[in-house]
Amino acid sequence: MHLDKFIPIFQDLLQRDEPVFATDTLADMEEWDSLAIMALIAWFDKNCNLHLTFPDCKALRTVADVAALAKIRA
Amino acid sequence: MFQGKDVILVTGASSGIGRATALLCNRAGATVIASGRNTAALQTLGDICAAPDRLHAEPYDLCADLNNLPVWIQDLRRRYGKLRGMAFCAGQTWNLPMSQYSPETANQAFAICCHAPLMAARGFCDRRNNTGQGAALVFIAAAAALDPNPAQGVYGAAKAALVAGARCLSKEVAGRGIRVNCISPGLVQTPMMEETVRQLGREFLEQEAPLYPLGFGNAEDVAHLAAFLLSDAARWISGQNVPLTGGR
Ligand SMILES: NC(=O)c1ccc[n+]([C@@H]2O[C@H](COP(=O)([O-])OP(=O)(O)OC[C@H]3O[C@@H](n4cnc5c(N)ncnc54)[C@H](OP(=O)(O)O)[C@@H]3O)[C@@H](O)[C@H]2O)c1
Repeated sequence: MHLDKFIPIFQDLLQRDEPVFATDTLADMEEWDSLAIMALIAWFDKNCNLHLTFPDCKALRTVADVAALAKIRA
Repeated sequence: MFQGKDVILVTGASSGIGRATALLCNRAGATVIASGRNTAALQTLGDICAAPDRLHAEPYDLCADLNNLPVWIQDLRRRYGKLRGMAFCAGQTWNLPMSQYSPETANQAFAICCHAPLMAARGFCDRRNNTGQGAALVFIAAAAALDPNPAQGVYGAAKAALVAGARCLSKEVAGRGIRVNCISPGLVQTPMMEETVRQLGREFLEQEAPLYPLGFGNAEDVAHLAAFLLSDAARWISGQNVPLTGGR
């Protein structure tokens, strides 16, 4: 999947009105909470067969890091 | 109780408890999106409600495509603005002994009694679709969720699943100031109860009547509690399943 395709999916997972950019810092987004992390884990599990853990996700810094984890190409 | 900017979605608004809830919320000042399948019944609401300019009929079959319910809610938000409340009153009952339990029938009951309300809630609770702090959800569950009579096993199981889902949801959204509650009525005199009497005969009512010290309920009895739970007067109540059973 291309990054351009992943960004709106990620925005949807965060249930966020404002646009999301690859360079955005996760910690700065109020929507990036434990429930959003669990939703992201479920999404990767279902769509990428990738079994992330909570600590994996907590260690991520930016939206680009999330994409990189799923080997999403920029 | 409410202001015109408070948009409240009421499902099951074409009949019984949902109809009474839609009319009461409209009378109490809210803008009401009244949903059901029976278009003609929804349209009559506009003729009898207190403020027709604040009542919008939205015919929709909640079980036609359960996965689409969050998209439907998103579409309502686009057209009417962010939702302040949802009273999920749509439902159907099943009178079936456990000897006749089957996954097929249970799936039908779960579709309208559990999946539809929880998928609609998924749409409502999306941060983009509700007003945040002060927004509230009310589900009409049933006394059968807690203590089903014989032949209420399928219906009771589906409503019990709804109550559990709602309780979980209340904890997930509490941090955003959103409240989630269930009401579990006993017998309420609506077309649904008439259908039960038609199926089980008048002896059913004769057996049940002595169990209700305050008599059977009416739709307005439930609507008053639903409107209260949606309002700020209930700001400290969430995650509850309130039995409403006329002293039973
Ligand atoms: N009455 C009681 O004794 C009693 C007791 C405990 C709990 N409850 C619960 O209270 C709620 C309201 O019941 P009620 O007594 O008011 O029943 P009702 O008069 O039969 O009304 C049921 C409502 O649900 C709607 N509905 C059913 N299936 C639907 C679907 N697939 N899509 C959209 N709308 C649908 C109906 O819409 P249309 O008519 O337009 O199709 C109708 O507006 C239900 O959840 C019921 O389980 C009732």
